[in-house]
Amino acid sequence: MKKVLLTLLIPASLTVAYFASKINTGAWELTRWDVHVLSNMTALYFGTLMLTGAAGGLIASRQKTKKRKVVVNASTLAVVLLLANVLGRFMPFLGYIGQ
Amino acid sequence: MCSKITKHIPHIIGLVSLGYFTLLCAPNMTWLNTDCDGTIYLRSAKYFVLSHSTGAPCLNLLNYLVVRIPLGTEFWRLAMVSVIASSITAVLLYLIAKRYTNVLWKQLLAPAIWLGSGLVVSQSTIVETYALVTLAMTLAYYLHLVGHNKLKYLACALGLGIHHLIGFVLIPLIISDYFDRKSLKPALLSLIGIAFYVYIPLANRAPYVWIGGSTLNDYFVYFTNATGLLGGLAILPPHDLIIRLGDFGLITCGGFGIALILVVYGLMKEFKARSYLLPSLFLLPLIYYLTDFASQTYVYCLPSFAFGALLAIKHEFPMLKQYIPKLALVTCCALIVFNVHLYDIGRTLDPNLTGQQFYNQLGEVPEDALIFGRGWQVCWLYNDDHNTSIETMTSKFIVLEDKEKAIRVAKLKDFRDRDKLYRTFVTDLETQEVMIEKWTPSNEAIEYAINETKYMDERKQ
Repeated sequence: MKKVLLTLLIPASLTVAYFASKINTGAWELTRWDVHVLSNMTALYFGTLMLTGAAGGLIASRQKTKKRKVVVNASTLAVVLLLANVLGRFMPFLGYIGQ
Repeated sequence: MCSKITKHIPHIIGLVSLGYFTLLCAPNMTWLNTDCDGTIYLRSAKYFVLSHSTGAPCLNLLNYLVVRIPLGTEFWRLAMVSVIASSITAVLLYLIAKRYTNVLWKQLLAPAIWLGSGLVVSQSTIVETYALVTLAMTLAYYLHLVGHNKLKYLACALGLGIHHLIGFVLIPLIISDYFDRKSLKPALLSLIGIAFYVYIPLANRAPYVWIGGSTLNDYFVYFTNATGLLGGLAILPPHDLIIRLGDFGLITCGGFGIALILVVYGLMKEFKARSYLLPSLFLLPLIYYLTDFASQTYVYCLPSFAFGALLAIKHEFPMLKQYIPKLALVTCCALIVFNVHLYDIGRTLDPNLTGQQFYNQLGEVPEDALIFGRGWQVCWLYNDDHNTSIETMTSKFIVLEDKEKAIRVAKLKDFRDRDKLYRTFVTDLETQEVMIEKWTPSNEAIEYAINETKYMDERKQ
């Protein structure tokens, strides 16, 4: 039974390959030029937030008690949320996020 | 007798791959498979001028020789460089697979995955850098496995002269050598690749289409002006992210087929064994595409199909041991047949050769006209071929400064008033057929066209 079901993956693969060919040939590419375009600043914005979160997570992982870990994680979350809000109000991020 | 056949398997794989890719190869100029760069490289090869950043000097020097071989059309000759590169990659994949398994049909699975992938086929039959740089990457990994420390970095040096994708092999190899406590001195050999870039100032001459001039600042701008090629995918609102994840899923699932199960399993086994080299060679190009702003960088995933094919055969699959790999092999064969139908440029795909068609249409445009829209690469080639000076202009891709905008508007009005203004429009998105027509726009229409951050005009479908 398993084998029969797995064999069905062959036509499924061919179907997916057909749709993938629309991307591979570039035929869909032109229709995507007008997708909502942000900029590399978006990566910087979220990169900053993620790095802050990661740093907090690293500090939390080094705490010895559970209580301390929770406090550090909660503080990190608060800092990240605050930073997201504050950064979102400054150039160069203003106007990019949520447009 | 059996060993005699085994001895010739690499040759057979090479010849079959060569026949397969040659059959599907572009006979002349096409825009399909996102081959907008094809005419850029053709112009560089014919007239020893710069191509777009970062120059691909090694490819252009090779093309300079190849384009002079009197066989087929000039475009076809250069496309054959990709064909040959991908065929050699298939052979290398078989040779590497031989080191991982003794079972013949499993050894054949690696090149079969490579040949069955739609992305591989699409990039192996046009004039582009990706097939050649993937060959350099696979060769470097093969030489790493067989212990040729110096040669592997020389392969990286070749890749350095082709495309920056080589960094996704060079850096992991250096890190791997560092952790294996091998000498890192041979890595310096990869710097030889920088010597190829002497080509840049030699080939840099007027008319300066890719570079502002020949000052140091011009060269600096030339190498650093690529936009949208490092991260930057919009994730809020999530429209772009959803499209990208969908594309990513289609490209990987459609490219690997059932073998994707084996690739994921191989990846997990490698991580479990704390062996990170092959997984990083597979994952880095994929992550690059997944996070990159420019959607057309899906072509950067090409090396992932080579290294993914190796991950698929490296470990024994536990469930239905024989069945799933055999099923994967059958699927790859089916995909190869399917690809012959889907990707045959000039027959099933782009039968009218849209790029060539556009080139021919330029003959009807006055030699000092301005064309607004796409096709600037073909125009530049046409200008050099016919000693004309047709100008081109397109609305800028991301953001246009007010000053530059005003210059463009003034220029369009000037050409309109002189009755020398033309524009392009796409008549068919599937074939990317582009027509040129005379354009007499109102002032408002000019403003609209310049402010529009789309490739096309308002007639875009």
